[in-house]
Amino acid sequence: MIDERYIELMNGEIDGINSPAESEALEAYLGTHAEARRYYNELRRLAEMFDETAALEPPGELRERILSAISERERPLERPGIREILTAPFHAKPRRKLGLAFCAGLVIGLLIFAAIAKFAPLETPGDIELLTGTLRIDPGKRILSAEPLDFDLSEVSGHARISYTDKRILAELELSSRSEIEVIFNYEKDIHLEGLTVSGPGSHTTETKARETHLTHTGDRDYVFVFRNYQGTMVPINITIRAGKDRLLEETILPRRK
Amino acid sequence: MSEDTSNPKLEISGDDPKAFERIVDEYEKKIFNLVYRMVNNYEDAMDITQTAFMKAYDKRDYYNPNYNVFSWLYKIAVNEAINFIQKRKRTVTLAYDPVSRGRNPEERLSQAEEADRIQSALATLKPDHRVIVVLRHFLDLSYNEISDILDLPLKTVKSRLFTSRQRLKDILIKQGR
Repeated sequence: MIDERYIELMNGEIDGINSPAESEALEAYLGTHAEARRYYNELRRLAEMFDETAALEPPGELRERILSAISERERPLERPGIREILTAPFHAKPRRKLGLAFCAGLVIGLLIFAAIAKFAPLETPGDIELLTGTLRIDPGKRILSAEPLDFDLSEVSGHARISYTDKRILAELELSSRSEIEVIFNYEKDIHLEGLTVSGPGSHTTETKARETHLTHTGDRDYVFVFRNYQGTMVPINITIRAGKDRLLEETILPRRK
Repeated sequence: MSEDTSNPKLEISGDDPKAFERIVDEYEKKIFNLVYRMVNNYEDAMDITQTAFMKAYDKRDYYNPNYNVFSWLYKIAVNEAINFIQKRKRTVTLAYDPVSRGRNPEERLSQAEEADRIQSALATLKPDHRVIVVLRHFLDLSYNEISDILDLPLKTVKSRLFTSRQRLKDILIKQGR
């Protein structure tokens, strides 16, 4: 039976972190314990095997793939200039001009209606059903959605989608698990949980902390978290899924234009 | 925080793609090796490495220059590899022999067989143990650097490393006799 303290010293010796006194103590121990000496030699041989394993060369096309993908990210969208956009209706055919005039009148009418609605009394903050309707119907709002995240893990399967307006972040979560799992939303300061709706069989608890919202879940449930974003800019949301001490998934969701 | 001796002043944020190109040139091989050792498949390692760099590029404005570039990059790559493994739920054996370049046939065969054995043995470890062995032995990182990247206590890093070495030793050394 090898003393645990010396197993730690053996590993330290291989990693080159032992002090001279520790190396000396280890050598003295190995000199009198054949089993320990054998164990240490095997450990050293293992480290040598790893050292002798050549580093892999990545495929030649990998660098180009990465850089091409970055260039695609940076390429500006091809759009007509302002002049072309403004003068296009005046170059259209008569019937088309009539149609464009009708549409222009409709848009102006909707904008006036939206302006009137904006000054109407506010609904209670946290009323999720109303907020969802506002996100989907209000023509004045831009909704930007991140790439949806689908997962099929050992303990849980489901779907997550993050959407942004100028003042709110909507996190839709579908979870299916037999045992208890924890979902943690992690975000920057000035983001606060404003409301939550839940549907489906199962159970859950939520807890908010500084820059985090924790959801403990079991069963098949759909969640809609609404966060108030006081930052004024779209920020990434980090999602971590755990089962006990095991981290099953960690993903950072970033906004993209639809 | 440990010292980034490769190039501590690499610029990573901003809108200049050329700056990030230098990051790719500096770390492409290390990230690829890390990912490959984790997922044990050459094609998957290529895809995951690309994804890791793209995520790093997308998050470059959130990078804190008080921390090492490599710690930040490795953390992203490790998360991507572990997420991939969790979704895959199985380990794919090596289909491509990347070691066998520029050697005579006997050496190539011997080295390829040894590399296969090492990869197969690594694949028997749980991902959260495997990553520590890979970071220590294939990227030559210290316990403290590993602790930073994985956000684990030093004690846990050591415990998992020592346990993993014992297991690998039993597979590769004892059984190899």
